[in-house]
Amino acid sequence: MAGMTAEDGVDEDGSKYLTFTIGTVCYGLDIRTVTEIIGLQGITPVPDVPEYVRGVINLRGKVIPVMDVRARFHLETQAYHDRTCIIVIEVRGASVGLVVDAVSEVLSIPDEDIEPPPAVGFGPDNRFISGLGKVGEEVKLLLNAGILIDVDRHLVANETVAEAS
Amino acid sequence: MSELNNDPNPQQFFADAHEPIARLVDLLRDQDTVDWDLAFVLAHSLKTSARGVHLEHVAEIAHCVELLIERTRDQVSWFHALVRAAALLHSALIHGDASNESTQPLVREARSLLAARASRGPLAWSTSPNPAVSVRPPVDDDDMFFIASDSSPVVTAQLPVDFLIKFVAESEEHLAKIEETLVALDSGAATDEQLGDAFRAMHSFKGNCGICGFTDMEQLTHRAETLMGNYRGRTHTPSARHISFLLELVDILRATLETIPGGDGRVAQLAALLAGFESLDREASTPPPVAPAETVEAVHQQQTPNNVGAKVDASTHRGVGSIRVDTSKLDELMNLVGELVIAETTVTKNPDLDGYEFENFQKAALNLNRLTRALQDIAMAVRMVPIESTFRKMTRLVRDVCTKQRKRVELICTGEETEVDKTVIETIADPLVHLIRNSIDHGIEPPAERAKVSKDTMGRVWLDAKHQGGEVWITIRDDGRGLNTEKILNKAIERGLADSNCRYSEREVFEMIFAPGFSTADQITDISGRGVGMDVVRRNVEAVNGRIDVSSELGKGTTFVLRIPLTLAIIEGMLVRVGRSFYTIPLLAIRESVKAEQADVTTLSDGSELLKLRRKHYPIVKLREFHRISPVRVSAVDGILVVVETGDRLACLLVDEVVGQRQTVVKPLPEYIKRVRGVAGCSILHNREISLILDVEGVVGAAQSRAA
Repeated sequence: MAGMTAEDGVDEDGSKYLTFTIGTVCYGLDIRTVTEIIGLQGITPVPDVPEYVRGVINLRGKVIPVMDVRARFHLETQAYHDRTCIIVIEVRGASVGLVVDAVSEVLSIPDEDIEPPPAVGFGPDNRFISGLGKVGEEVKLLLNAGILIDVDRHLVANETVAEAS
Repeated sequence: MSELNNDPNPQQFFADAHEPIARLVDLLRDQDTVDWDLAFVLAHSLKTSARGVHLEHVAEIAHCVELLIERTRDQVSWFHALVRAAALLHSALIHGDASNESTQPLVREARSLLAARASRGPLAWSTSPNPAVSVRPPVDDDDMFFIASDSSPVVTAQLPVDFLIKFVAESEEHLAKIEETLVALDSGAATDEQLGDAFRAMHSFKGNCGICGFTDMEQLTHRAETLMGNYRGRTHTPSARHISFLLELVDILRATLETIPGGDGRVAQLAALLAGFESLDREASTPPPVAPAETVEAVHQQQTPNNVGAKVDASTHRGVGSIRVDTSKLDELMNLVGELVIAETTVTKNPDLDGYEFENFQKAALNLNRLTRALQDIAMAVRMVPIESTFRKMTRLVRDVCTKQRKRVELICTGEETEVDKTVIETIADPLVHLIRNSIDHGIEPPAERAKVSKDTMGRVWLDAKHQGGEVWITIRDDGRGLNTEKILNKAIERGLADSNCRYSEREVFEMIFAPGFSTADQITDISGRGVGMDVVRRNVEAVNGRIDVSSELGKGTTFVLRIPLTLAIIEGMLVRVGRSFYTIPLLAIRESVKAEQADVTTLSDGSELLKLRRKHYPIVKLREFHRISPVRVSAVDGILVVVETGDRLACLLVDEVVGQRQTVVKPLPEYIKRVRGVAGCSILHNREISLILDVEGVVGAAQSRAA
């Protein structure tokens, strides 16, 4: 799958989101955080990391950690197939690859069509969701990239044990 | 600092000022025990904060206090004026009144204190007899003190920034040279060559200041140059007071340099310093008194056995034909060389060539490999700097601390020629300073106490650097009191860092000194306001992927060892496989590899195993277990045992297969993953896969402590 680069898309009344699916649920990521999309490639496992961090990959000489989003959301993990790909996002200088079931399309979602996240969680952890985007009849769960990849926390062996349990 | 404050709030300032001014007044209680540096910092920060909220009058009083501090340091007869000025500042601050009416009389009095004669003292100064220098009561900040000569206004605004940056870098080098010579002069060990170099350095520095229009610094260095010329000609011998004054001047110049670019290069203490030069001049013309006890002390204080003079030879040679390079260019060079290495192997070990034997190609490939390796070596060498300059800085530190504490300490440096990557040197300078200061502060006993326990009254601190298996090991050892486990444990319990019901091993107690919160409050900030404390030291060392260990013997002394990996971008490693994972073991750490028979393996009661190899036993570390690679259970006879050496420990690492020797490019683990036990980084293999670089010391250490 060819690499797609992020568009500099900020419309006057909203932003563009890259949507992808995990199971039957559709999620969206602010396109400004997405640096590229690549096909699944060999992931080197790294010891002592949380279960959802599958390891690292070599991206043109740069070593990038890869996270399985299903595992991150405590969903049942599935075997990877030919549509599985890795979305590489970058937040505050940290690059992380996200393994997702399939990538859909880039959508413009105006701000007024976005609702704040529900108070009660459903599905994945609530804290990852920055809002609910309404596109026609469907709802896309818009993710907060920074929280998703835990930019402000330090991954340390002890912590990960606690988190995984 | 205060410039960023868009919304100045005087009330907040007054509230915040209570503590510092109280502290300052408290410091000045006893003339004999004043911490001058701290007092200065307090006054200075009050001044800048006051300016930040546009309280110019308060700032001015604070400035007067600052100046008086400088004067009193040198000439104690100013002490009463200083105390009075501090009281004025206190009044101005405590009333919290920003209006001019209330502060005006205080300001007037403060100014008059500065201009007045000292109340008593052998060297009373007047407003200087030198007609070229006139001191006018300050009106506003911009021309607080000016010299009535024809100094032109500073033109720094017109100089391009990188020119100024070069000026600063060069000047710092000059100052370092001057400082080194002054310290050597102090102990009577300065060679003619050093004096000559220092004089030239001062001269060049002066010239550069002139070019840049930094007239304050130019003036000061001109005076200093004259003095240094005298020392060089051996017509004058500087007293301890001269040296201290000049060293202080160096500090002030350094501080001024730090504000450039951006600052105007003005020296606030200019008048005080010039007056200081005057008084030194007067002193020099009278026959020197019989050397008081302190100067005798000073002479004995430092004798670095690598005689400073001899070393200077080497450094002047090095100075010839060198060039300044931007470190970002070096980084870029390193990256490219790394890419080149990968690209080279992609070509020469290309799968397309599998099974074919191309003789000419092989020859060409070999040649290419030879050239790439040579290029690599140079690219790495270019970044390496001998640790000498960092060690040299310590001599000044030792002198200062000794003088303050009235102790006698000899600093012995070895391994100064050991080369370390430039970034590493920058990061460990602070930790080293703190560790040495600690050794002298807490480790080395005062002479009387040392004599009581039959120790030489001269304490010793050894500073050593050496390369060891892909790392730099820096050792700081003292022959002082040693760590008192009981005291440490009690302190730790007191601070809630340890449990009084637990039993701790000696090693564990030693480790407690690194716990955050262990340092006592009065050690938290040093003169420059930087946070110190052993936990900060450890963090700094770990920031360059290093580690710090401590060992000690009560009554004999303490030893700190810093182990820092040489920031190698390319290493020679042995590629091994464990399960589906690949590891690279640095070749330097490997002694040999063996395949074990059951008979060679001994199992201990706790389950750990030892390998018998030529009548010695080595612990076996199973990487599968260590990194929980399934299946975790594996027998020591399945696979290969790689015998590794780290420091003085040997161990065997059990791997599934040894793939072969590889030259690989080192990449740090992504920030996101932070530290992984036993892994020092990763490297990209020629087939574009990733192998983890094994931190041998870490693996062996962790495995052994787990077994314990």
